[in-house]
Amino acid sequence: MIKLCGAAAVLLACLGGFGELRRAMLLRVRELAGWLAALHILQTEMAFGALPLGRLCGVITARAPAAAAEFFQRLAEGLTAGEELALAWRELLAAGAAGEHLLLEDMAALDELGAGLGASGLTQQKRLLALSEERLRGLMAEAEGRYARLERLLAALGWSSGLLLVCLAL
Amino acid sequence: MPDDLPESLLRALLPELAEAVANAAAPGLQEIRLRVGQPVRLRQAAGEAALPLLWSKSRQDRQLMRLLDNSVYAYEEQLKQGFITLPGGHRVGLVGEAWYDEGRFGGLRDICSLNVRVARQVLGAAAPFLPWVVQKGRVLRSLFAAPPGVGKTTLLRDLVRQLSEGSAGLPPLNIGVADERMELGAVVNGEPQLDLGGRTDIISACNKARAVEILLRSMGPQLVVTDEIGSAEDAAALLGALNAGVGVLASAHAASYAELLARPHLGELAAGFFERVIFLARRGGAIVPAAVYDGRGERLL
Repeated sequence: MIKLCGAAAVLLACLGGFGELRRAMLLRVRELAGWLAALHILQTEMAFGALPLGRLCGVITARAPAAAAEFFQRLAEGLTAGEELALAWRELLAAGAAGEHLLLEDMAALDELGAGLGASGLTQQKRLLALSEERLRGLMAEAEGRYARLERLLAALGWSSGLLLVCLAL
Repeated sequence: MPDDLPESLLRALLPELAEAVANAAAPGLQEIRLRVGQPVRLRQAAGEAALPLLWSKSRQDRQLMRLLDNSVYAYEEQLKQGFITLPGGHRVGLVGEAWYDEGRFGGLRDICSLNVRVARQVLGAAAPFLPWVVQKGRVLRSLFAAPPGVGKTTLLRDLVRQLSEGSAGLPPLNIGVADERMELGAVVNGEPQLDLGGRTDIISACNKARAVEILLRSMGPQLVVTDEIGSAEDAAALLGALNAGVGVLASAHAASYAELLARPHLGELAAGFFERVIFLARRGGAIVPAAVYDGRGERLL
């Protein structure tokens, strides 16, 4: 019985740890998806509305998913206060406003986007946004792959742990 | 800080420049000249003044991004024209290195000089001109001429405002403004920054010929107004307005009637199309008619 209880406790702790890891990976995928949605809005509004970034931030805040929306809301506040875009962008990234679960490589892609955003004509901006989108899509595909692998691993661990518990119980 | 220094202008400047301008500007600030490697210079009613602020390339770049709302792409067409219009109606002229895309002018880069022109609406500026422009219950086709800086745009703006609200015994008129250089109404994000009256429709940043055509076709104006005419297309557009039975007010650069007549297209318009050609002058800070000619070239004032 003691062995069974110990095994169950170890199993629960592992499940908790894996659950947290799984949650973080899932949220990273969602945050990257939010940024891709924000990029899509940026691309369409720049091309068809020619809105300046101050107003564009408002559109993204209203339409993009949570993490990206909050980032652009804070960026809009900074721009309204007269901050320079590249500087405000970098400060927000450093403060983790782009998303709590993004990794360093995600931040690097966003940092490059912020360095060039708004600083050139429409053709160059389209190129920059397309490049950023490609990078973020690649990162998201990789994050989804990792998440899927973790899911499979957890499923396998779940089955084997269940079997172990049954064996111990018998 | 002078009382007539617009807050909207200071907001558009870098903090260090805004502070220097607010401290040093005298009443009647007209221009702020920002040239890389030179001190900032102000042109004001009392003359030119240099500020103790050396204008570096880094400042120029930061200032430009601030003027452009950090959004170069949104101002591409204006940048190609060499100016941008700011909230408050202030206008920034810029020059730098031209670049070409497959042989076509693509715009300007490495901007080295900015000229910030302060917009001021002078309410009532048109009062001395109304008796010359409005006669027998109608607005005569009139051309206002003067060298740059005398106040042609300021005058046209106030004429439009007054005629749009009803003035000189006329009922309020529907007026169409072809504002190619975005100086008359200074529309920013669809909102005129300067008062052109309640019955005025403004088409901005569009060449005058196309703008007049659109106005005539879509807005049914009683009067068409445009600034700084001079080309054959401008002349054709104004003739189009005449054929539509619509009145015309316009302005042009010229210091004298002889100079006006010598200019291609303008000379023909002055001699046959316009019923009044009015030369402007500044006296004691006010814009006044210096010389007035009728459609046959006879001097009335």
